[in-house]
Amino acid sequence: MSKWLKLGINVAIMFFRFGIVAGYVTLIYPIIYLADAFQNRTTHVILTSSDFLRFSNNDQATLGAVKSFPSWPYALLMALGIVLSVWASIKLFKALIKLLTNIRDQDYFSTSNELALTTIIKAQVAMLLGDLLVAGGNQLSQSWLLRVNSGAFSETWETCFHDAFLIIMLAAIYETYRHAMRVKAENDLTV
Amino acid sequence: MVKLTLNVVMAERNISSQELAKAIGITPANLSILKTGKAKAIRFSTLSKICHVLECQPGDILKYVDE
Repeated sequence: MSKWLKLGINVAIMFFRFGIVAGYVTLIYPIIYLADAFQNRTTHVILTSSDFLRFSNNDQATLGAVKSFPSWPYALLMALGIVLSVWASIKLFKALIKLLTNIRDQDYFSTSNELALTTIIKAQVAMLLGDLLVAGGNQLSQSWLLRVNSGAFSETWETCFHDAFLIIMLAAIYETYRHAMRVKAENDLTV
Repeated sequence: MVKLTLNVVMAERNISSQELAKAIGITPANLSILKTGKAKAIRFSTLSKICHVLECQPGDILKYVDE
């Protein structure tokens, strides 16, 4: 293994470790959403926050729409979605660190790698579910209050499509790796 | 399935695993894989060396049995 590749892997591992720490910090967001709903501030936050953009200056939410905005369903969708997405991200980062560590140690064919790949796929599925919930929440603010979330957790239905596409790609990589493991096992048992 | 009857031929020739492994140039671990039937495949080169050392035919160490 080249010196540069090893260095690259070490840098990637370091970034993923930062990602895990950032993931735990991000878990404060669901509390903020729930606190806003509890204090009946959800619509006020959406209408005044700079993270929420208007389609155009002519588009204004009606008073009826503001009053009938489902604050609690919105807060629950966002909170659950964020928790699921962040938990999935942490699992994904941990599995990636394991995988990269094994590659750095030139341990290419091991059950630990197979397990890490399975974890990555499961985490991606969980992330898709989380993003579906967040996209649902963002759809509520868009439909009721005509505000598009452009800040943190601004996932849309398109993000969910990307997640689903990524699951298919990861599943294909996993299946190829499993086949390679079988070939390796057969090769090891050829005398 | 095809089974290896290497044990039988080795006993007939009165040769130990260590001796056979050394004579055919494979590790004792690989010879053990052959003897215990864990092997998925055997190379023609390995088979030739076994037949040469044990003075036998491939059919003497390979048997087909119905599963």
